[in-house]
Amino acid sequence: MTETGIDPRGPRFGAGVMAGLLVVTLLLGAGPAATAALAVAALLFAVGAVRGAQGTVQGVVFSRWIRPRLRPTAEREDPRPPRFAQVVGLVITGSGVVLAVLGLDAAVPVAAGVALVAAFLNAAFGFCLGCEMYVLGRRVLHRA
Amino acid sequence: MATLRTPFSSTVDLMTRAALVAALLAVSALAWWALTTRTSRFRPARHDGGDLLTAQQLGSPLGARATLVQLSAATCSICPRVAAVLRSTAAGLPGVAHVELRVEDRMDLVERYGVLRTPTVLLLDADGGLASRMSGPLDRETARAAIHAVTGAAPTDSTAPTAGERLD
Repeated sequence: MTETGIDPRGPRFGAGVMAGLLVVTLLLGAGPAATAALAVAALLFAVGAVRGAQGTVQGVVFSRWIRPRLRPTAEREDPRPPRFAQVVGLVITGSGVVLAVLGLDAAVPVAAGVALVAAFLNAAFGFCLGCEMYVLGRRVLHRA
Repeated sequence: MATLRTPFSSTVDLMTRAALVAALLAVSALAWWALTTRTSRFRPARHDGGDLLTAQQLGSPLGARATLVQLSAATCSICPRVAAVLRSTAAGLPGVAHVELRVEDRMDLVERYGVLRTPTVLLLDADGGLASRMSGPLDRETARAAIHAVTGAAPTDSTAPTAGERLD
């Protein structure tokens, strides 16, 4: 995958943007505004789940405006793990939005908090929590 | 997590929320730090996997002195780098084998050894018994030291790191 790999700084930048959006969501508390902010986050994750982290809105911003200003790097990353992490993000934020629509407003800050931890660790340390959950997920499916 | 309805203005709520967000980020950074420093070295095996692992169960021959069984996944970004480190380390040590397996294909080993994340490296002794294990990023020196602890051989500088090799 080295030939078709993606610049690893792209998903990290995307996670940073996502962390900012999730902080805003948390600051809004619980209510229509917070639900709307979380829905935007879920929408961004949905784009990433379908197109991969490099195809997200943040990914396009990175490749068009940020990356040309950075030093070029030969480092490449397999696009599958970041994409899987986008799916995990979609499941978490999507559940929050669905529960809020069903009347459970408290689900919004909980979902935003969980997603923020994952996005923050990715942006700050390059640690992909969503990717780490892959094996756990497989084990649960295997037992079921 | 319901919003508190206090006589104070909403700025108090906002301050509280901001403090909670800051606390959440601080706790996750600490947890990450604890996790990475704890797992990035070989540790004595607790889940010993029961009996010895045979070459038949592994699906490939065991090393004469030690075997590194690496469990990887397609979604694991550092697995290829860890595999490169282990492959070159094993190549420089006679009787040491490196076997990389995908967790999707080997759920039996994942269950047997209680694997929670990728990459997890199981270090087997000559008989196929689990000597130690680690998960996460790995450098050559850590791998060599763990192998020597199992084989009982004194470290010999059989190979120097190849040019361009990244040591984490």
